[in-house]
Parts: sequence; structure tokens; C-alpha cells
Amino acid sequence: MRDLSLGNRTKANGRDGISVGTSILFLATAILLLFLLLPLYEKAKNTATLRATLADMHMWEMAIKGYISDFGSAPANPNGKINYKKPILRELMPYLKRIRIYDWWGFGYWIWTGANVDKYGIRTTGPGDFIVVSLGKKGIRDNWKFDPQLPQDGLFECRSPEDFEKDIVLWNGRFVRGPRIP
Amino acid sequence: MTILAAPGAVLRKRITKAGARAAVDRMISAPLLQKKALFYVLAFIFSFWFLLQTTSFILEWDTDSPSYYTAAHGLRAHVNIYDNREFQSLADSLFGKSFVIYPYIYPPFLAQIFLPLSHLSPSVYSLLVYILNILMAFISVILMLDLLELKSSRTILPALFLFVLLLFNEPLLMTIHHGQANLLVFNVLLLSLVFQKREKSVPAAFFLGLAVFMKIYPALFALPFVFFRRFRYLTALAATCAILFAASLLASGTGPWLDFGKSTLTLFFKTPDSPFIRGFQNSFGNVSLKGFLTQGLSSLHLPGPAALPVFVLLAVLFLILIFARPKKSRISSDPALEGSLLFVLTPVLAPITWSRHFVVMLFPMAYLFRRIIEEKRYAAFILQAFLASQIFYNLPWGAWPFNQARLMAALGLFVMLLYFAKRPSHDSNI
Repeated sequence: MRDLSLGNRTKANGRDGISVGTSILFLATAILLLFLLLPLYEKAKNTATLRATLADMHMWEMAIKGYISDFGSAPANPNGKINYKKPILRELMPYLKRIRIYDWWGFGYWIWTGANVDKYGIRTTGPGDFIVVSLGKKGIRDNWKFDPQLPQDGLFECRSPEDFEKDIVLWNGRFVRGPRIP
Repeated sequence: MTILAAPGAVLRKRITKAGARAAVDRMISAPLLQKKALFYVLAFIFSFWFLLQTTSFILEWDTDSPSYYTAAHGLRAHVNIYDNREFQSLADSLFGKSFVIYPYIYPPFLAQIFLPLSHLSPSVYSLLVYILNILMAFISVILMLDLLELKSSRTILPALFLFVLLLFNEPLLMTIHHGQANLLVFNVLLLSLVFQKREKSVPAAFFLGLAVFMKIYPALFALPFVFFRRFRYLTALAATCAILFAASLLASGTGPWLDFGKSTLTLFFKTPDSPFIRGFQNSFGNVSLKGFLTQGLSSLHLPGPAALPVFVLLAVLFLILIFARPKKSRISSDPALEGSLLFVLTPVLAPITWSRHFVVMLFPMAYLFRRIIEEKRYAAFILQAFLASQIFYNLPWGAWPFNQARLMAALGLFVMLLYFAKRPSHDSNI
């Protein structure tokens, strides 16, 4: 009876191992797969990072709102940049579930509070106004300006890697610049 | 016809495992790779390149180094260096109000070591710390060459691999840039292992005690003394610790140690008051096992404190994997292997681990490479190279679990080392 098992056949013919042709084909397929999978991995990583950053910004929003409901106005933070020395951090600590002063790309959040802040074309008017910003994947501020006539204009779809580099702006609990959430 | 048939014949030629291994063997045993002169030339080039990478750090002044400087000043001024407000206000007086300083979370002994240097101006101190760290990097290579017995090896590859690791090593660069004490502690631990290999219990225990007093994590290296019943070492370690503790108390009193004990217990078991510490624990850059679990639970909207029992269970499991059934492995008879496994576990089990703490992976990586060459398991190098790329070159940004690639790679390295630990002992024939 004919033996169809591969192992026995190769041994019987004395053909151990794999041919150079097969190994080249295997290597080429592996490289091709790597090139196909790497962008997918990068996209998944960027999307997860964006989601986590949005969640953190929401956490900052809830903390500031909690503080406002107790004290009537948002805690002051004149220069916007957040670091561990800023008094705003101590003031918001009881309202924060977690302290994250950096977004998940590793760049610090910016928080402006109170009236007369003029950032991204947004001019705040009351003591309870606030703007929370993440500068995106590259940590570089973009030139986007808020248009009150087209408030949805700042929202975008994350299709290309460059979309993850755009700033994310949360104004009084509403994303005016950031990914369009279905 | 013959010309056309030739490529086909090449493509049909078969590659066997034994054949591939023999080809790599021939490459490694090539006369060129046995020439010491080539090693010295390449080692010099790599060292010079490494130095070039770090020269710009002279002009910078960052995080850990000012923290040690402030802590040393704090001891002199009787300030509670573990209280964030007191520490920060002292730093303000030294560096100005705009300077943000990292908290000091190490034992007072490390700050006491920096006491003489705190009399220098910040810029001179910074330069000195930079030079000391560069020296430490090269001393660590010399110690590893000794510990892994690479000076007498036939091929220069494993020794050269150490210099390659020096060159392509982001945690090492960050350690030097930040003026961290990682390299100092790493070298003291390597010294302890060198003396353990020579079965000299007193100096081995002395250096281990010194390392434990600088940072807490080296205490893990005392576990083999307990599990493998090395009571001579254990006694010498206890005596060293008692002497160092008494010396430290004589120098600065009981206050700093009481403050340190309180802050360390808070770090492990409570929610700290300091926004720094709370921020550090939750940061994307915390690539410890505890950080991984806490971040994972919070991303699943589960309570963070649930991470502690899982962390303890996993820590016990890792230790069981090292210390259970030592007779079946070569762990108890090979200080380099024992040290490699423990070095991998240190950043994994610390409560807060930054990328730069992975600088200690230099030794386990070098050890594994030596075993791979020694035992001719070249395929394992593909996996090792991948893990090394994640440990030494992965950027930590990204949401959970993407930010934890470095931790996962460290655990992968731990598994690889355990696999090699179970393999029969070989005499060095590289």
C-alpha cells in the first residue's frame, strides 16, 4: 500500500529539511505579512491611545464640573500647562479618580479655566468655563480655529496616521475638535 | 540549457537543520571572529559611538539627579525628604520656583552617599554624575565579561554583543541623561555576584547589603541565600545590614528612616496623598507588573486596588518558578543564571518602573546570548533579538496594553531563561 504520510515519504527519499525555493517563498510571505500587519497594529495602537486620551479628558471634565458645583467656579490655572506643581492639581485631587497629567502619547494636557481665555478661537466668558486640550500624537499644536457658525467643523474621521496628530479640544464638556464619535 | 537549469538546481537544494546549524557554526568559528585584535578595534569604535550619543547630556539637567541633590541637601537641613511639600519647597530654594522635581522615594542611605557631592554647585554636580555614570557603564561591561567568563572564550561574539547592547540601549541612555543611580546599584549587584561565583561570602554579602541600602529591589537577590540555605552568606548579609543601618543612623538620626518607612508602606498599600506618586502609579510610562494590572483594571472600569492580590499571586508564582526544584535546574549552581533571573524580575516586581529601570536587562541579555552561542541554539537568537528590541528600543507611548510591550518582553526573557535553566549544564566551550 502506498504511504502518503509526508514524514515517511521525505525520510524514505532521503529528503530531510526544506528546499531553498520553499524557504525563500516562506521568507517572502513572512515579510509581506509583516508589511501588511504593521500598519494594522499601528492603527490599533493609535485608536486605543486616542480612546484612552478621550477618556482621560472626560475624567478631567467631570473633576472640574464637580469642583464648580462645590465652589461656583473652576480652579485657576493661568498658563494652561499641567504639571505636578500646579495648585489646580491639588484642588482637583478629591474629584479625580486617577491622576494623569500626560496623555497616552506622553505629552502633557493643557487646561485653561475661567473667563477671558482666548485659545483656538474660543473666548471663554464665565468663571465656570474651561478648555481641556491634548496635542495629539506628535505633541505639536495645530492651527485649527473654532468657527461658531460651524461648531461641528472641527470634528474629523481618523482615517490616516496624520489624523492622530491633530489636537483634541474639549470646551465646557463638548468636543469641538476631535474624532467624530458615532 | 545548463545555465538555465542552474538556478532551478539551487532552488531545489535542500536546507536541513543540521546543515543550517553547521553553516552558522562555521561563521562563528571563522578565524576572523577569534581575533582579539578585531574585538579591541570594534569595542573601541562602539565605545566611542556610545560616548558620542551621550555628550549632549552634559548640557542638560533632568529629573532624578536634582532629586538626589535635593535629598542630600534635605538630610543636611533636617527636612522630611519624603514629604512632597517639604521636598518641593527645598527644591524651589535650590533651583528656583519654575523647576519641577521628581520625588525622592529611595532609602536615606542613597541620599547619604550623595551628601559630599551636595556641597558642589548644581552644574558641577551634574557634570560629575554624568562622568560617574559613563564610568559605571564601562565598569559594568568589565564585570559582566568576568562574570560570564567571556575573556577566555574562543569567539569574540558574546563579548562584542555586550558592546552592541551598550550602543543600542535606550534605558541606558535615559539613565545617563536623568543622572539616575541605576548603574551604580547594578554594578554593586554585579560585584556581589562576582564574589558569589568565587564563593567569597563576606564581600558578596557586603556588596549585596550596600545595594539593598541604596534601593530596595536588590533585596530579591538575598532570596537564594534563604532558599538554597546559604547561611554563611545570610549571616554576613545580616551583619552588613546592621553595620550600614547603624552608620546611617549615626550620620542622620532615626527621622529619615521613619519617614522612609511610612512613605514606602503608603506606596505599596495605600492611596498616597502626593499627586506625584499617584500620578506615577497611573502614568502610561509605569511598566511594572503592578502598573500593568492597575491600568488594565481601570481600562475595564474595575477597581484598581483589586490589582494587589493578583500582583502578589503572580510574584509568588515567579519566585516558585525560580526556586522550586533547584536540583532539576542549574540555578543554584550558577550565580550568573540566578542573577539573570532576578535581574529580570526586579523591574517587573517594583511598584513603579520606568523604561530606564530596564537598564539592568543588560546582564540577562548577555547571559542568554552566551548560552545560545555555547549550546548552539541559534534559532533562539531570533526570539532574543525580538525581545531585546522591545526591551531596549520600544517607545513606551500608547494605551494599555500597547504601552506594556517592554514588560511583556521582560516576561518573555524570563521564560527563555527558565527554559535554559532546565537544560543540562555545559562547560564553557565557546
